[in-house]
Amino acid sequence: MRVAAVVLVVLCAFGLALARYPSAVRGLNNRAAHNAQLSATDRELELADTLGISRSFVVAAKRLVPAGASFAVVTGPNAHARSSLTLTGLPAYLQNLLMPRIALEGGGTWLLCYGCELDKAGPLDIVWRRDGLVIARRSG
Amino acid sequence: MAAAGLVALNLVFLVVGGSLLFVARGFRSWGEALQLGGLAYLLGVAAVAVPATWLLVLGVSVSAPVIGGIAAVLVAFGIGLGLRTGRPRPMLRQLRSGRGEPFRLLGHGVGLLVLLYLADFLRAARLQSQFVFSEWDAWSSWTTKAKSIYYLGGLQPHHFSTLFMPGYPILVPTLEAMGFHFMGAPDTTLLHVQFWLLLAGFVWAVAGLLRPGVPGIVLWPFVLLLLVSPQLNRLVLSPQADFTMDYFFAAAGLCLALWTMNRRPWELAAAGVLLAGAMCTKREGYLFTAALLAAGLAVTWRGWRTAWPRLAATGVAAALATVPWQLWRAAQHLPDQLQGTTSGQLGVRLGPAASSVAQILLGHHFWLFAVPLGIAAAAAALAFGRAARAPAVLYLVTVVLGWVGMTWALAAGVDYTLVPYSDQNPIPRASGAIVLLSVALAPLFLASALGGRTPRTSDD
Repeated sequence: MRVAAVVLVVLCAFGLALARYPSAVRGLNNRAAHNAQLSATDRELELADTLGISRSFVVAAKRLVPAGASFAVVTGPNAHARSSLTLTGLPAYLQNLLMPRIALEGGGTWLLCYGCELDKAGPLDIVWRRDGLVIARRSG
Repeated sequence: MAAAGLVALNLVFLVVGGSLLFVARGFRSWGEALQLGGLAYLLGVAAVAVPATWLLVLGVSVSAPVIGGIAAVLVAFGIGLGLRTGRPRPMLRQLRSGRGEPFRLLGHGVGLLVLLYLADFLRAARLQSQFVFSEWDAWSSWTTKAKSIYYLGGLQPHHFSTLFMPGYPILVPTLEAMGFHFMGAPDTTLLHVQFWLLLAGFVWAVAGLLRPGVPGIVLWPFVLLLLVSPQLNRLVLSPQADFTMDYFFAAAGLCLALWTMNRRPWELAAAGVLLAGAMCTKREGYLFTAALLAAGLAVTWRGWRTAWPRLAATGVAAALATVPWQLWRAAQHLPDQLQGTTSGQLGVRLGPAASSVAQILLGHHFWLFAVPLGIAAAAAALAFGRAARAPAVLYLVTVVLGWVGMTWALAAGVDYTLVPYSDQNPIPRASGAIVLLSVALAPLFLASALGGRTPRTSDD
């Protein structure tokens, strides 16, 4: 009886694991193959692609905003975002990606305007602009 | 070069944990030391990362020299006191093998599947992008905090307070920041390998604590079941805290279960260090630690005069480890993120929340019935195995208390959905602690039911 009970529980665990094993291995192999074909830049920008954030905007921000500088991310109606997640995820994504540049809510020497209303942003030196997306240094 | 740095950091964890195990119990052979290497590794992670969070609170960075200093102190303490107190020194002696155990070859075969699967995981982890959608919490909170600690030389309140969930325990960001220092840069791709190492360390710890007393054919199917489960595959490599807390908790649960059988002091001491790690990692760590220790009190009521003070001391010591962070958080007025609701809403939500938690814990969707199998194994131990009755009760009480606690947390969080299969429901992630505990303990129960064989490490 006790051996039967133990064998039954072990067989259940083993059976469930074996049934799932091939698809789990396939999933891992697909993931490894996908990861292997990405370049370092692709890896940094994979989430931008998923969320619908402009790649060129992110790349320009990394290139133009100097390390150690502070910046603010402001979104607005001119962004033509693909989904609500684009604007929801953008500030946290840039905050992480652009470090050691420091994100400051509503402040900072740099403005990363993602479709924001520029006329409300004060005096600016615009250094990059494309389709309602602007990177500017505050000049005030 | 960055990979070498990460490997070096993890070797530091292994050596520190090994030193602590040496002072706590000694090693009779190098084989035994190797067998307990996984436990040593997890102990080392907790023993280094917890003091590192204290130093951060005191304004010290977690640079490589600082981590080296913490490690040197702990190793000197462990080896020095171990030698002084005459702990057995490892000798060149053959480890007891599992020869004669049932279905030995089949057991080795399943063990091989576990190894192959871990290797596949490593291949995926090596080049995994951090910035994928399923790792939302990782890039919006955990690694952002780690980068803040790394770049700003520690906890800078004016910056840290602007990050997402600033009041959350910081062991994982601290661990990640330590990794960045050893890598030489914040390599968020390589960081996934750190989380693979934690997974491998947990598997090693469970196997090392249970073998050779538990036959491979009983142990490895449960480990394999955990590894292929959908929820683990989705999140285990993410640089976030869920599974790290689960490893600490489940390994502590296994040590405590063994302590209820053997009453060896080192098992309780190890549980205490791991529980401190769990509580410094996630808020849920407090809940599950309380559940486990309450279950421990219930199981040991017959010998309460000796057992309860030890259990209480373990719990208090583990909780004290979290005090520096809580003081700093309070001083900076950072919210503790506990979600509240009115009692009326709580009443309405409790029933559906209880059902939601039960579906997640007991169902196939996330965890492939690991908890029901753990419960069945505990029932078998209660029915047939005298040796593991206390651990079986410990486990069942912990599961029930964990279920009650998760129900309360889900019902109280008004922003949480009660639908089990939604990303807005936190229980699929939180339930990992109970699932990993089930997987770690089920083989012990079944081995006991098989005929009173109890897991023994070589100091028996």
